[in-house]
Amino acid sequence: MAVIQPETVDIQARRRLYGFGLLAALAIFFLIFPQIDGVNPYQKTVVLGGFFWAIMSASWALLAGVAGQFSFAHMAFVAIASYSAGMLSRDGFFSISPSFFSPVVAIFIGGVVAGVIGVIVGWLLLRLRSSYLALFTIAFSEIIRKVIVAEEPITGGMNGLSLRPLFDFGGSPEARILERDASYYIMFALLVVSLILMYLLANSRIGLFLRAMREDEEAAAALGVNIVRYKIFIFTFTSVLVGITGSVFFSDVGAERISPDALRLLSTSLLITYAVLGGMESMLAAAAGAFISRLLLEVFREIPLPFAIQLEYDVFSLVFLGATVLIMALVMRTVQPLLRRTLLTEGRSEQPLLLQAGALVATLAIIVILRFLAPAVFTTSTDAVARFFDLLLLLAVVSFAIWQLIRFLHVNLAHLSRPRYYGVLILIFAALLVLLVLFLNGLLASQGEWSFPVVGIHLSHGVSAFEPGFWRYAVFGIVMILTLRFMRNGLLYPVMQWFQGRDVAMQETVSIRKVRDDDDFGDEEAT
Amino acid sequence: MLHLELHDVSKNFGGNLAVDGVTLTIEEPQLIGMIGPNGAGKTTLANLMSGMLNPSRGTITLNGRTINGRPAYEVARAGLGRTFQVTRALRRMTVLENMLVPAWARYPSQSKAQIEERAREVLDFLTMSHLAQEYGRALSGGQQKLLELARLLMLNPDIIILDEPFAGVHPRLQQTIYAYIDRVYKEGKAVLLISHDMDAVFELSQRLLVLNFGALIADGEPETVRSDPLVIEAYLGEDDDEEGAANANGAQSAAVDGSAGATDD
Repeated sequence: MAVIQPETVDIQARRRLYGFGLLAALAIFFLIFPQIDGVNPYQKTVVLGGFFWAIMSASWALLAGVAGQFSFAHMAFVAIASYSAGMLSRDGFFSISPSFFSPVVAIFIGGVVAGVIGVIVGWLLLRLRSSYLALFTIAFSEIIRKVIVAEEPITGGMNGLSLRPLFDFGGSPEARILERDASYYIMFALLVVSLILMYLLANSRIGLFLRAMREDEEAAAALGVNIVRYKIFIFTFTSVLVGITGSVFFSDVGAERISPDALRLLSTSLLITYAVLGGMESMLAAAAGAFISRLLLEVFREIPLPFAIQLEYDVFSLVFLGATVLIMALVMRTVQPLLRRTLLTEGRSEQPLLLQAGALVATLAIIVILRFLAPAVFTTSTDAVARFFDLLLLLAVVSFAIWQLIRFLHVNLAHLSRPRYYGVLILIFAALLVLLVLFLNGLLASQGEWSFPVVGIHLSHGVSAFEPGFWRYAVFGIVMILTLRFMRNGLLYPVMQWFQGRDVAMQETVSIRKVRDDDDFGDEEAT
Repeated sequence: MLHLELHDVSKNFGGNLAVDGVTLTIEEPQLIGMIGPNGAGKTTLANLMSGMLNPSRGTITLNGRTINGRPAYEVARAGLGRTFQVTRALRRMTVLENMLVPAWARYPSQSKAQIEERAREVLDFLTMSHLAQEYGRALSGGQQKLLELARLLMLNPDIIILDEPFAGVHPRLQQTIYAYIDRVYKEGKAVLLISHDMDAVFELSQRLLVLNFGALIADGEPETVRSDPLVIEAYLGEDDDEEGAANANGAQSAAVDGSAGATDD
């Protein structure tokens, strides 16, 4: 009996052909895109940024989705490479004259440096898995950022470092247009090349071993897969790739300079979010997820909420990360079980509400204590620290309320059909979001001494206002969490599966099983 | 070449001596049964042989190479394959991909088409050819066991360790596994069968190892071992029925595990 029916192979091959056709059409479109009349430089820049983030997310998908190494150090490798390239080609280093290295050579060396660090990090991570690996890489990334901020004489500190521009066609307007188009094409070429590279890698022997490693390291080793080699390899490969991409991007192709802001946890979280939204297990899906997300974020940048508040950058990133992940996880996963264990010696909770109240009180107490302790520890800008904790307090209360609401809704809406259930949930959350924004707006407006610049009330403590339309990030975060909960493989997963012809293969399994079962019954009757 | 030699191998976990000075040699195609009460060190011994654990003392040589302290993948490529007591299918990979992994790890130069052809033959033999495109996580507990066996055939080792292949397995599937063992034996491989299923062990094995408290207390023909007073005292027991009941319980709980694995997703 043939394992795969010829018709299935045909259908799968045809689907794959469609897929490649679609990709080719897209590629041609993006090739002629800059030449289309009416396309302005701003749009080109946005698309170029989309390419950059597509490479970032795709390579992260290779690292995390294919090889199972859930790393948060992606932007750190970008920074390592870009700063190395910048120091070599711009400022000179070790008394080498700046003109000694051309930008291309500097970028190449930057990639090599990132690769070397990638080997070391991969080696250090050999024994770490899942959340421990994530924690290590977060710490690694933050250390790199702090070092860059601190070593101002070499790195330029918070101001960042400008790399030598990759192109320099002179200052005339025509030359500028030429430069922009060249930047666009170089980033597009990088995207195409790296996608092809990663596709070939993922579909090769090595890709197979990487996936085996993701599934079960011990079982893979027992089947003859050299885990150590492939773990280090994949860290090195992605480091070099994002290193080179990053240094090209920051060589005045997509951005004029690299600053420590590039490796904030927020940037890494965003690129991971793009990949998760698109689909972690496929580099193409992750790249498409990143590209589409960037476009959407850009489109919605111009649409602020009618009552939008503008938040300081730090506060904003806290809202994004803290509200969606940290506090919910803290209260739900850590504090509550802890209390349950200490308060109830036997079995499951009999008084969930009491416990939850206890959890809330405990969390709040911790925050309040920290709030009053903090000024004693941090001598500088005590009011900023206090504000930070005030906000934390607020977030704790709000997220607790949301959590309770979810529980309540879940119990009371369980009888609804699925689409309605989620429809109602989404409506309620949208309403909540609006309420929250209104509440914050009112609160901030009434307390003038807070330094959050509110629309209409521009308070300044020397803080630069964050861009308007920040709310899209919050929506984005919610979408990501819903994706993780209900479509873990990403929103584009069904599309990828269709192009690979998975459904046909599954139908075939069913049909063969039917035939086989009939055979079995036949045999038994005969004997 | 087929040669596995353990010389005075011990393994302790803290103060717990799991394997205590085991010396044994496997050098011809044989069906070898390994029995012993729970906690006798059977699985630990399998882990030592397959390189997943490092012996505290003693040396292990496989096909002329010392494999102490060598990583598991080297042992696998040197010609020793094993299954796990709790099945470990690669869950988000198809059955074919599952089988491609060991084949490609051992024979890097073979083409994918070549390997897939071999894989299809193996799948046919194990009556699971219809599952070729299915993900590992979609398989039932019994099918996952078969998949592990299939992967071993693809690795093509000289020595195969089967850790509890009959736990939680339907009689019809058990026949398939019998046929499998017969096949690999005829291919000139040695099979080390770790099992609590006494009937199967006595029926299949040509040589029997008995472990108790980590020590190898008997090694020889099943009939001789069976009448060994030391073995009777340690394992077989005076009362055969009681032992049988215990086995049935073990099989049952394993069956529950297996079905839990299948419905996990």
